[in-house]
Amino acid sequence: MTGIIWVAGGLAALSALGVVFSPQPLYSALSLVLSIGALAVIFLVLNAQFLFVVQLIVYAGAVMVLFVFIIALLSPDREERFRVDARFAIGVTFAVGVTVAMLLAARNGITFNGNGFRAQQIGQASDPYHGFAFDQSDNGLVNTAGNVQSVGGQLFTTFLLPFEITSMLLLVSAIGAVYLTRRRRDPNAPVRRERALAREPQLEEDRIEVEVR
Amino acid sequence: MLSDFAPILVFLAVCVAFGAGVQALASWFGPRRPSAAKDLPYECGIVPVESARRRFSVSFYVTAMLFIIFDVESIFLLPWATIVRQLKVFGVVEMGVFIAALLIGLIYVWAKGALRWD
Repeated sequence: MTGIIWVAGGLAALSALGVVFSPQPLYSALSLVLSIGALAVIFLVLNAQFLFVVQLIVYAGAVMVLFVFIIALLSPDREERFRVDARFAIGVTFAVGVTVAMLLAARNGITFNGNGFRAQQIGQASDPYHGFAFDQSDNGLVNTAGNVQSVGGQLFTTFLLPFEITSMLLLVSAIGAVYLTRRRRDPNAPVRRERALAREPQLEEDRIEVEVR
Repeated sequence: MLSDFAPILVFLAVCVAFGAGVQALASWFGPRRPSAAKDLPYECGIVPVESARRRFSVSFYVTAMLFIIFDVESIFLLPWATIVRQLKVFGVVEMGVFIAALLIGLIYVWAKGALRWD
């Protein structure tokens, strides 16, 4: 199990580097798919089956489709090769610093919950349920029943209203996407050839002439 | 349980092994005699006249957006399906309301002709 986490984590980290350093945006997108897939495996090993499925279907499926379509839409050329300058050094230092600080904080049990940042005893932070209103004795049951059921049980009872509001959100985004990109012309408007003929009638004669010839 | 997902791991391993294996076998045993004629578009293919990196129609974007919306809808069906027996009629009704709201969206999209490709 730890082995799977190491392999998947390493793959996720390497492909994340590939996202940043690929010269072609499309290769970045493909690396991101691999990174998302590796993260999904980590979620699965941590017994979060619902996150695993969401990660694959929504992120690796839907969101990546949008990314790839936007890449096709904007058609960016090759990026220029990154230069190792001061800005690059500051960015890398900042990213590494934040990551190391977060790892150290997690290792030393400093977590964030409803009470804000606070230090826990070492080892306590590795318990994923601390700080939440989960019954500790129920952990085994939750895990054997499968995380999907427990998510569903909460979602369709306690969080019924947010769930139904989600459908409104999806409805608005469907209508918005169509409204923003719809054709402004009405379907009975003349097509391009008819408009061209209306503007320059001699085109019709040219066309006939070509056909006769 | 994690072991329930072992078939997926086996499936992935077989996919990767097959893909890599076919490539490796082809490169080891296949003859390689490149020529200018072999790089031409095959038979009825058209000789490319410009770069393939050009802007695509916005219709692709609409299609992708609509796919995402109904994909996110389908993700809610998964936890619902696992506990629909416990939720009984209540669960059917609430999912009915959810899907009805998205059905309105689908009808709007359909009526606006966003599903047509022209």
